[in-house]
Amino acid sequence: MTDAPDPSPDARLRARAIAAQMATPLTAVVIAICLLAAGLAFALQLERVGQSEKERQIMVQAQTLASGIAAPLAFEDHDALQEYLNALRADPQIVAAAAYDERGDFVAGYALSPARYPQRGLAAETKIVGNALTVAAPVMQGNTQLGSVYLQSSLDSWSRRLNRYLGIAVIVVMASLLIVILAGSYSSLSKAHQKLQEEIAIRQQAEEALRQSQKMEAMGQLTGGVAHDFNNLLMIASGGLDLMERTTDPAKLERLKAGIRQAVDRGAKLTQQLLAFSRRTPLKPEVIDLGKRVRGMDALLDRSLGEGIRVAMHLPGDLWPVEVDASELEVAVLNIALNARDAMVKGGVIVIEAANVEGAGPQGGDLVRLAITDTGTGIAPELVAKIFEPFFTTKGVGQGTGLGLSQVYGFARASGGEVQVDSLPGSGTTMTLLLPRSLRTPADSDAGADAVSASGRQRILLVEDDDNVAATVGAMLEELGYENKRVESGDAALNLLERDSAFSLILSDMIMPGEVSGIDLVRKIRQHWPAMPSMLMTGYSAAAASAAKEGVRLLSKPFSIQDLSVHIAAAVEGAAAE
Amino acid sequence: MRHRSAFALLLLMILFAITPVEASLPPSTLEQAVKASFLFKFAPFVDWPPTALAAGERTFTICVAGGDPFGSVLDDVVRGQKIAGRSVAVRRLQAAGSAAGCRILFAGHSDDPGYAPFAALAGQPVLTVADRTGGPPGAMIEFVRQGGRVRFHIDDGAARANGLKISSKLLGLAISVNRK
Repeated sequence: MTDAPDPSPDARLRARAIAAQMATPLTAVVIAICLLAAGLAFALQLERVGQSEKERQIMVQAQTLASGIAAPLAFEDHDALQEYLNALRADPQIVAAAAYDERGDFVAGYALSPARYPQRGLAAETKIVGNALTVAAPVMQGNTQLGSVYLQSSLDSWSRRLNRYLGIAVIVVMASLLIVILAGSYSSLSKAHQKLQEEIAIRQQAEEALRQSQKMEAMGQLTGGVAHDFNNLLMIASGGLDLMERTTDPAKLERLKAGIRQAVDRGAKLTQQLLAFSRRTPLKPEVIDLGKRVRGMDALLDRSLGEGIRVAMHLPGDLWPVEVDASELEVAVLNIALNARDAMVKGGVIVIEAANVEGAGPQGGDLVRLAITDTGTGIAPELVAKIFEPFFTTKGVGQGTGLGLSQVYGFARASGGEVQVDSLPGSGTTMTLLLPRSLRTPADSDAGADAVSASGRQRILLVEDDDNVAATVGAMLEELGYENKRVESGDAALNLLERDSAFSLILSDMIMPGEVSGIDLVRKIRQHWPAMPSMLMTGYSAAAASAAKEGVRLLSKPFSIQDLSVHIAAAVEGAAAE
Repeated sequence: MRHRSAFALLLLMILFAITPVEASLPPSTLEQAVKASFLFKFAPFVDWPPTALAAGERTFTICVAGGDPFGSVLDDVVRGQKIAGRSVAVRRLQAAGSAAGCRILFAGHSDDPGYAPFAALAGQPVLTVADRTGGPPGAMIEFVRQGGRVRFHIDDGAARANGLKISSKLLGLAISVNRK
């Protein structure tokens, strides 16, 4: 896990988010414009329909008039004619009406000022001039034209027509406005949401950093003890070697060898635990056996707690599995133990015990309880609530960062469990981790096994740049009955394989000078010689993690001859089985 | 040009119908011009039976029997006009002339004691018109002078008996209608 995320997808995401933010108001504006246009079109259509309706109406009126006045016009009955025309005065919209004889001469009519009727009869037509709609229709009887009529009707003025559509216009404008406002608020909401997302991401990074620093804090606590311990181990080893040079007594030599062996083993175990401990990893829950894990910390605890503190473990073998991040669990146990040590200035016993608790969890779930008890000074009641806060410490400046117990709390919460504190000032403290039971079975870790000798004649290609390591591993392989050929780099290994590929296994270091690293070498071998098994040796855990992701067999340095034999046998057999 | 002047006179008459000016104008000429116009304008308001207007007939004939009061005025009125798609002709009947082919027959005054222009037309689809005063009796439409204007009575019963259908518009304008 790297702290700085790859910037290119991030930038792309941001660009997409900005585009999405812009899209909403744009869409809203487009919708609003569409709505306005639709409203306008609707009004225009209504207006046009209304106008043609009006034209039709006036035309019908003119035709009715023409039909009615046919006889009076023909036979010059002006009284009747005038009556017909006067009837139209009842309609205030008809501002002028006139009748003309068959010669087109004016016979009778009226006009309301400012409207005027023409002095001569017009051919049949419908015309709109300004606000005036004029209609001329012939007066027909049978097939004979007896004259014509003229009608002029006033149309509604623009302001009156606009008034009529004011209601619709207000509704449409309000709706458009509403859409734009909604879009605006949606946009600002999504902006806020994006900001929140960014803040969450930053917060997560900060938490990640906090966890790492909590671990480093614990590491710092360890370092002193570990360095001291290593010096002791080195003392045993170098002293033992000195003494071996000065004696020829086989029994004494044997004893010295055993002592050196033991010291080296303890050192190896210690560094392995430290490496696992300091690994910078995201929370990665796995199903584990709590008892086994805590038991595996014995060396680490012994070294880090120092003189005068004894650790007593009561861990039953039938503990339920739990699903937690194993390395965080170890850090939490160590942190509690370090606090216990600090509380017991005069030394004492730290008791680590575990038990299954049935149905005590939330929703009646089963729990596994891990309690760490000291006989120290205890914690004052008013401080109990504070001890899990980050940076809260009772230790002097430079002695503690206040991150230890906050890590414990964070681990418990992240694992779906909790942490309890029982403390009696003056007589000791019990820290209890309650972790939910997992119904899955823990993955088997490698069980220790006896050294397995080579079966039949087998050749192994050893790729290792360090002469000393190569000599040691080569000697181990010979001891186990394997023929071996050593090359110094990945490139050399590939060159050799081109000529001679009769090897049962490629055993390569991970980090080597030259173009081809251990992992590259494995990839090339898989490509060109798929049947040939390969295995990487490494002492560097970050590189190991990336190799493990690709399913490459790994052997962690330092390893014993037993480890080596078991892994080689598994690799060769695995390849044969395929 | 003559008909123009005749119509100018007619127009004047119409414009000043109610005014006393009318009295100063030569009454007979005006009156005859109006009657000639009416005579022609009756046609659109009357439906002749389909048998009367044979498909082959090219003209719509207006006949004048007895003394002709119109002179050239009537010819001026119908010139260029069409009735039911046919051009209009004016025929003046001699004393013993046949009314065959006439659609409208106007009978003027006659001093002839045997003058009975409508007698031969009984049952025939001919619209008969005459002056009530001075004209022969029995016309379907009779002109009268009323209030200084030319009006008419209509004998719708006689018209129907002869197969003619007179428009209610025209009937409505008549001073009286005999519907018997």
